Amino acid sequence: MKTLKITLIAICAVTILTSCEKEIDLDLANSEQLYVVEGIVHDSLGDNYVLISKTRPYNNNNAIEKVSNANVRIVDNFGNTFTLYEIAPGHYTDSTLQGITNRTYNLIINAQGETITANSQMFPRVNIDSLSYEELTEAFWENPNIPEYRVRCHFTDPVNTENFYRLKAFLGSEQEDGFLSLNDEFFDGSATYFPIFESTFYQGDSVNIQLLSIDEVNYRYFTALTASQGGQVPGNPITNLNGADAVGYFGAYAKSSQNIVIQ
Amino acid sequence: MKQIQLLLLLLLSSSLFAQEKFTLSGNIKDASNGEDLIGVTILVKELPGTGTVTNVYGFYSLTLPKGEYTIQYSFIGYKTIPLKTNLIQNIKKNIELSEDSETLETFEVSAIQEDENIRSNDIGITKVDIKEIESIPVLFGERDVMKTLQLMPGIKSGGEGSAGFFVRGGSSDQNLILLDEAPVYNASHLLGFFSVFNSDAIKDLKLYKGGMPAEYGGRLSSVMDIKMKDGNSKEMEVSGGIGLISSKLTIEAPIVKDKGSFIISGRRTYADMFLKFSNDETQRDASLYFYDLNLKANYQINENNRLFLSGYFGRDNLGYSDLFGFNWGNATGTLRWNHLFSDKLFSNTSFIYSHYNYKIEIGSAGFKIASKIEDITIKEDMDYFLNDKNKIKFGGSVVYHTFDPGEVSSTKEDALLNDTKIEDRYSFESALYLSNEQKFGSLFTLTYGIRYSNFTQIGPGEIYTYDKDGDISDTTNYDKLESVVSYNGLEPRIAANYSLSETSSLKASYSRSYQYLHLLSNSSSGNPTDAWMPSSNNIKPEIADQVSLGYFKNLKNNAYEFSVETYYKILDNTIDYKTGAEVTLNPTVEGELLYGQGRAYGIEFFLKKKKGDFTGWISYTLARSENQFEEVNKGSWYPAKQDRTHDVSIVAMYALSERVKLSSSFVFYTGGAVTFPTGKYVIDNQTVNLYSDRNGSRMPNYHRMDIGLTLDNKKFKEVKNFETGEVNKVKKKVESSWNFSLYNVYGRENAYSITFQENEDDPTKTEIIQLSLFKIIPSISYNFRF
Repeated sequence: MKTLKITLIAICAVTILTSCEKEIDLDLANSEQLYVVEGIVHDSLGDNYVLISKTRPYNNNNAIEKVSNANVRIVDNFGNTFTLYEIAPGHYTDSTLQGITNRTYNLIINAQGETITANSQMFPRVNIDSLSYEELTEAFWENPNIPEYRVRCHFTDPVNTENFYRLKAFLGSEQEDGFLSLNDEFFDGSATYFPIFESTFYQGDSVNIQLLSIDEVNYRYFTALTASQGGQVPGNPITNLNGADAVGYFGAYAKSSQNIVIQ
Repeated sequence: MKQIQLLLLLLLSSSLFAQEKFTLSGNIKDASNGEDLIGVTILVKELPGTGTVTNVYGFYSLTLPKGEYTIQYSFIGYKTIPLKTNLIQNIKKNIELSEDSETLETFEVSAIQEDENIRSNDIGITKVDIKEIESIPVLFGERDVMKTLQLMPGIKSGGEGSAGFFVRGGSSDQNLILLDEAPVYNASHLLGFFSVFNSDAIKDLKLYKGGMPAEYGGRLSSVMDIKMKDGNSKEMEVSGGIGLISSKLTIEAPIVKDKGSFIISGRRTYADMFLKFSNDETQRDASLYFYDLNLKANYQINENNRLFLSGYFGRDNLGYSDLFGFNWGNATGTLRWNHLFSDKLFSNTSFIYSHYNYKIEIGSAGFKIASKIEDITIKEDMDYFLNDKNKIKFGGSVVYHTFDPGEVSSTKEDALLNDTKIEDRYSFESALYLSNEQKFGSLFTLTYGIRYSNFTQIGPGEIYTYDKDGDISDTTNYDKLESVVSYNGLEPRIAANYSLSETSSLKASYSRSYQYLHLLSNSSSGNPTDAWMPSSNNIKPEIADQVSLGYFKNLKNNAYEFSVETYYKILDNTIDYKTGAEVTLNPTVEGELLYGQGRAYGIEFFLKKKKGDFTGWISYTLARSENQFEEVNKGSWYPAKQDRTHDVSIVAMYALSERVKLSSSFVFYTGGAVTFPTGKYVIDNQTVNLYSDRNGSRMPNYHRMDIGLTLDNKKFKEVKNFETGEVNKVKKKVESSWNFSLYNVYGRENAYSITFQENEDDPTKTEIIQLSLFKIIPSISYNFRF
């Protein structure tokens, strides 16, 4: 992420003189349609979902094909089985399921005669200590007349354990773009803060931040997703989904969240 | 071992037929400025096919049977000197050649000097005439040897905004770039728009793309050997140029006339100075420039000893007030000692230092990043001019490498990162070589040699071992100088030249080479932050075997030169990355690498017109470069990112009059292999690209035409003699010229990057955006010399 930004600044600087951007048509090869699965079990009651759809060819801007009438189950390592029901096309959930720390959750999907499975462990929650914001002063291509703000999430990393996190930002109910995921390699055991790099906010915005404790597989998935989308080594990130050809992830996340209003 | 025995046997067999012989040796210099002349042909009229050429220090040695001879010293663009000599004892003869102002010479003489491409046993070598590049149009009018090289067959540009280049399907880190024998680790300025080599300070440039001689090693694809000028040892000379975005100045002068001289050459760009006048306050705080400085001095202590000291220092700076700073650059230094043990044994001892580093300071976030690579080298090279049939080279080198892959430190008290350092890595790289250039009759020449190389990773340090998933499976601590792992390589090198006729020859070569350093780059164009990684317990050395065959023909009294060369290369232990690998500042980056194999093959055509008002060349390469990794594309062969099917360059120069020269160049190449998405899906309400095969798509084809015009100001002024009324032409003290150029004449929008993104107005839709850097760029520069 850092390098990407630096490279961007550098290239912008070099091309102040002359450059041009335009939309083009490219003839791209078509890949076969794959299943897309997004599944999260949170550590709060009924806070879970599994979304199932299909991939589209890149040049196809039609509506996404959802996968309905699938049999979706989540089984924990104590043998408890939860069958999720479809509340909207391709959207499955269960109101009785609450993730419990240190348990492993298994996802089993049967759809259109194919099976997709995955598992993930629920790690202990790490609470957000506080949220703060700072006014942005650095980026010279942005309009200096309207103040822009960046939100920082403060938390204390547990000592001597390897921890992995995801950070999600919401403006109202809309999730902000970006797949922020981090490990504690650079701040193990210390109180730290992390800026939500990719989002800028304005005066009066009410921002909700989620700090999610995740397992290493999910961390790797989201760092690889970011890196591959940024063009470093493009490719599909390794997923924890097994069985039929599918992209996406399944994770058991311990969630801590807070709100802040920019004044 | 067997190969060495064979080699010794060959050497011995040739010296069995001894008779009374004497040696003619000496130095050859340019009469006007005292520069050593490299590659001057020395021929014996009475013994056709017998002769030699001067080495890179202008030294030659020729051993002949006792007798009377006419020796011819000839060099392109210089007057040929015939010398009658009675060889009844060893003779030392230093020669000064003067530049030939007349363009046409007698045919007999020019036939000897201008067919060097046919006669020399150099296969796969590209030479650049430093004078020739002055008239080729370039971006911003800044002459650049590396950009000119990329107009030759088999040498392909890494693309606009990249100083990286690809030789015969090899990646850009497989090119060894030497400046006065010091390796230059990052040869680009301003993210690749310029190379670090100031053409005013360069005397000679050679690029070996195949049949690499045994004295070079350490890279698989090519060696670019650049020699700096020694400086004028006759009189003081000042030259310079003023351009739109940069200016440069060179001063050279004798230290002691004809015994020693120095040269200082500096260059700086000032594009950012225009930003200071910007109305936009934020742009005024931006800085963007580079500078470099070349220094060299040499001194002839006595007939048998000469010292050279040369240095390069260059730096790029990119910043925005105190919020963001990014600078990088190379520093090299070489101390050389030429010593003549006898008139047949020439020795050069070098002490070389090379350093590359970068620093990034992000004031707003309160941290900085630093990284460097440093080499200290001791090297010994010997030329032994055994007799007129055998020229032996041998020597060795030891390099001590230090790698500092990265260090993050905080500059603010409440910094969000702890200070972190990726451990330094240390290693020794050493080599021994022996080769002989042997003539069999007057038609056949064979150069055969062997290079032995060793690479040893040493402590101190914590060394990791990785399992199949790329996770650390074991950690071992090593003490200072303790050996971690050691690799050995035996590298045979063979090149042969067979003359088919007076004007044509057939050449063939085989070479094996080992590469122990690897550049980890997360982009195809190359960034200043790309890190060099040594071979280690995890990374094995890369190995290449290349065979090549070439046919060379000169036409119409050497007015035209034609060649066709073909090659096949096999590469082992090639490196690629796991999908989504984090390459920069990653302490466990070795766990993100994949190891596989590669192959590259192609055919190169070259036709050049060398004489007349109209000169120029056409070069065409048809090639393929592929990789195979078990983990990528289900283990099938796929194109390497530097794979370019077609590559065409056309250069044309036309002298309208004595003072006005027009030039034009055109390039076309197939777009590089890239991984483009084939589909898309949604994660967290954001569109995500779906990929199928790595490097399964192509960038759009690249083509561009440039034109240039050089106007030489009058070299003579008319002086009227008042007493006689006669008008005489007197040479002006200051020579000067104007250079006008247009880059990308027809405004082709070549793709620098292609981005796949969500439509800003409707995030459910996607769009494909192409970024092009340059449309038409006009430039003007003024060059002078006095």
